[in-house]
Amino acid sequence: MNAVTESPDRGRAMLAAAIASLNQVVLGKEREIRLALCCLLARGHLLIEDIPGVGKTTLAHALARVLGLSYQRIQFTSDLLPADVIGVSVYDRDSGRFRFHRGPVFAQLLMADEVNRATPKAQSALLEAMEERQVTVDGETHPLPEPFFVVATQNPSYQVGTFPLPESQIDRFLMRIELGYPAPGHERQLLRGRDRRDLLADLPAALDPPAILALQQRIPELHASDALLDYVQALARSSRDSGRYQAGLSPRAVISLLRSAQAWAFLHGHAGVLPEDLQAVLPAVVGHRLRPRDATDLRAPLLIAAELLKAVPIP
Amino acid sequence: MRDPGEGLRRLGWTLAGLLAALGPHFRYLHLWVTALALGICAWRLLAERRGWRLPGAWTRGVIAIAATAGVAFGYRTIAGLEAGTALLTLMAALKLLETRGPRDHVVLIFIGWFLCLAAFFYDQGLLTLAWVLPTVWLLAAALLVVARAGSAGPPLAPFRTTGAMLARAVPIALVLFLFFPRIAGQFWGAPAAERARTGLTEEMSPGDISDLTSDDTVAFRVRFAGEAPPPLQRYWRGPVLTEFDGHTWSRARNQVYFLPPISWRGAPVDYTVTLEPTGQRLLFALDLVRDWPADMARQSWDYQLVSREPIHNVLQYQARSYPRYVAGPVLSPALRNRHLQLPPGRNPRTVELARRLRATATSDVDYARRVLASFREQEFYYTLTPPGLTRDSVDDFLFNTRRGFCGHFASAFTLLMRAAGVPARVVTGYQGGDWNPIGGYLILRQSHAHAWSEIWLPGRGWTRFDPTAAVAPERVERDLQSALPDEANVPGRLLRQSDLLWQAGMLWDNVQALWNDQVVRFDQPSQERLLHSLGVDDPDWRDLALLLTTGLVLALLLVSGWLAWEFRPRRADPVAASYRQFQRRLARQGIECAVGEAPRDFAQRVQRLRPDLAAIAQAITELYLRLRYLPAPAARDLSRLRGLVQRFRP
Repeated sequence: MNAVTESPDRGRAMLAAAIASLNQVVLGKEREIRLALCCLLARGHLLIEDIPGVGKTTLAHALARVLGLSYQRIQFTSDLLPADVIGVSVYDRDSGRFRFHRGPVFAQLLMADEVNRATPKAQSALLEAMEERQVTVDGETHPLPEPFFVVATQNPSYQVGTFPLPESQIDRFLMRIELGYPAPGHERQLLRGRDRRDLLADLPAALDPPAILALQQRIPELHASDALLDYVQALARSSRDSGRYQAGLSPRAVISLLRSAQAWAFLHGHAGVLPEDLQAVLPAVVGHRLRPRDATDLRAPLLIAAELLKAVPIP
Repeated sequence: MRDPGEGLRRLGWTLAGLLAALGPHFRYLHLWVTALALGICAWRLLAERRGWRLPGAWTRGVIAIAATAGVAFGYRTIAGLEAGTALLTLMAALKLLETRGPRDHVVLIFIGWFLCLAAFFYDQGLLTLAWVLPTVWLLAAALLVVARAGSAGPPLAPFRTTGAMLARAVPIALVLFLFFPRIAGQFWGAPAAERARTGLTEEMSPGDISDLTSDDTVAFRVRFAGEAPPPLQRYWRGPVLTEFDGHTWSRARNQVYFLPPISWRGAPVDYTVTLEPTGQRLLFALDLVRDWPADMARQSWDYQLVSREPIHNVLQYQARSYPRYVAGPVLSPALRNRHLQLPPGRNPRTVELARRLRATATSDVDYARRVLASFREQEFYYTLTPPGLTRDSVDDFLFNTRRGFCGHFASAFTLLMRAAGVPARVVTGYQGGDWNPIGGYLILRQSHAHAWSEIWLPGRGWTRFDPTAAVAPERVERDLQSALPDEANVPGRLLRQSDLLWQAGMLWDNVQALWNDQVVRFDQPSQERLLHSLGVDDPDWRDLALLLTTGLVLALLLVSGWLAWEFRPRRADPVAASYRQFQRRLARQGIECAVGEAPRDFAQRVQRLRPDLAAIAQAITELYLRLRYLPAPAARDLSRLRGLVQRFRP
């Protein structure tokens, strides 16, 4: 897609079209849709955490259609095995060798549904693949397709029968978002409108994998001034020194924050990252990474982020 | 945005520190001062919680004047240690009434530190130290809380931070302690009249010494160069009382006689005494002392060691005594008269008894022995709780109550001697002592206070007679506890009966002795010895001061240089400076940029609040963002931004 590499405006227009399509399927969640796209552009993975039935799967599926990515879905259950995710080597009688049968992880957009229902073993199989972007079975390494974008959904962990993702694993998700209930008007549209599944089938692809790869490469080059980097570091320092959190933001988290902000700035046509771009992505990026020191403090991640923003002056 | 709980938190920390600092002083403050200070603290805390108004300048002024007058009236002065502490306490409490901002808290915290220092004027023991050190830490933590507005971290975090700070200060403190020039003399001593005097005094009424027996504090510690003398020889000479008014014995004042000569017999005892401060001028020594540091004290005609100044600090001296001696084989007529003096008309029955007994005795010695024998044979009892005595105390004691403590027996015996024409006097001091097997030294406590008699015998000079030994020999041979029936309420009996507790007590005393020797008494000679061992042979304290000051100044310069470099002002970004100016001008109009509010959000708020400023605010914001955050800004954008902000007059 030479058009994209040559002109950022062209890429931006394609993204705008994608957002418009997605908005027709997932109603009233433009902010979450934009965050999800940012996550993709920043080469991260997305965790959607919410109660069942608010449209998590619909969003993931719609993303795959609109972005023109191959789509696979794994329903995580408590008896899911790592081989069910990664694939398995089978003996081929004709050739007299083992042949690797690719598992569902070999997709460009992988939907891992209810990831916290599986045992930690199966979870880590997925999470390692996410981190490495490759799978090793029987000493043989199989690269995963590019782009590789995991959208995992998770029920709030206080529900029965779940294995909450440990902190080291949850750090591998670039962003964590919630969808929440629809506004009354949007809910009425849902009630009156066509079935979402039918809509999905008709959804045209606005982007394709080469265009996405080109956009992904463009993101880290987006201008981030010293003043903005000062701000990023001030936020990180505050999270580490204030004593409010069990642990401050890791360097990986800080890089994630910058990439996400760059993606957001790109999406919004800014030539450089503005403080508002950083503030827009901050809740999704740090909300699941910071745990209040006071364990009884069960405030929503959004509030945690708001608190951090209010504690740090913009340099 | 100020947190409403913040004031309360600050106040809580400051009050906690201040009260901890006042802790050691409550013992010495008048009750009303303590009550008033605590009352004001409690009121101030309530006022903060309930949001009451603080009193105005007039009210505070009136209270301040009243408090000062109260101190001047109650203490008869407003200077000196006790009155000064009282005044400081009251002023700290009054400062609370006008404490609003961090600056006031800082003043209170510094008063707290000063009170910590003042606590050592009263007592430099380990317990005071154990109280003051955490208090200093608490005050430092309070200062941190006061200075660090807005962030309510975990409650123990200030202790961690300040703990690290104080730990870093320890080496400096050590260097200062070891090398700060010590000045000879009693540098820290407070004015004499101010200090509570402890221990034996220059007067003895019946019952005085038995009051002391309930006091287990240490009077002095003795380390012997060789073998310790047996208990029967452990008479530590204190005030010698020659004047008698019929009830009370007291020291002869303004009387100067030649020191009656002494001749020494037998082997000497060498020892080192570490004397706790008494506020008095007496040094204690084993009877009878021959050598002592001549620059420290002189010997009076009744063989007491009198120092030049009242003893306010722990004092250490070496002495040599001879348990066997002949003191004053010849008595001058003046001295003889002085030691036969009787208050006319008092204690007539005793005087009559003495004359009768003397007539039957062959000599003065014989007479003295007969009197002792009669104490032993008749129904006299040794008790800590003797009944009160009438004006003619000796008559009452000998013929009615017959129950007494060492003071009663010494008083009666001495009077019986004088009435029979034998020169005699009462000697008070300490007798016996607790042997500390761990440290290998003898502890003399106030409860070892004792009184005995000395009579002058021709040819033998002043001779000690201890009538208590006749009645209760265990007191002299062993200790007080053995001399009293089991049910008598003697302090430390429990301690003595439990072996483990006794050992623990001795260990603790050992630690205290070490503290005294190594820290409290670290004076000029000790410092010279230290410097000598470091190779500085002839230290002049001026050189020392110069060296120390130069070293400190250099070290501080280095540290401040490093700090200045570390916190050097960043080159002010002209873009940011212009934007700050824009924010300041809006703030003056009541539109303040919140912490963490993004520029465009702020511009929108300005638009909402002041639609008339919307256009220019937006222009400034966009220029600012372009200059500060976007790539390759145009040079003229900066001058445009500056121009806009210059002209911006909301």
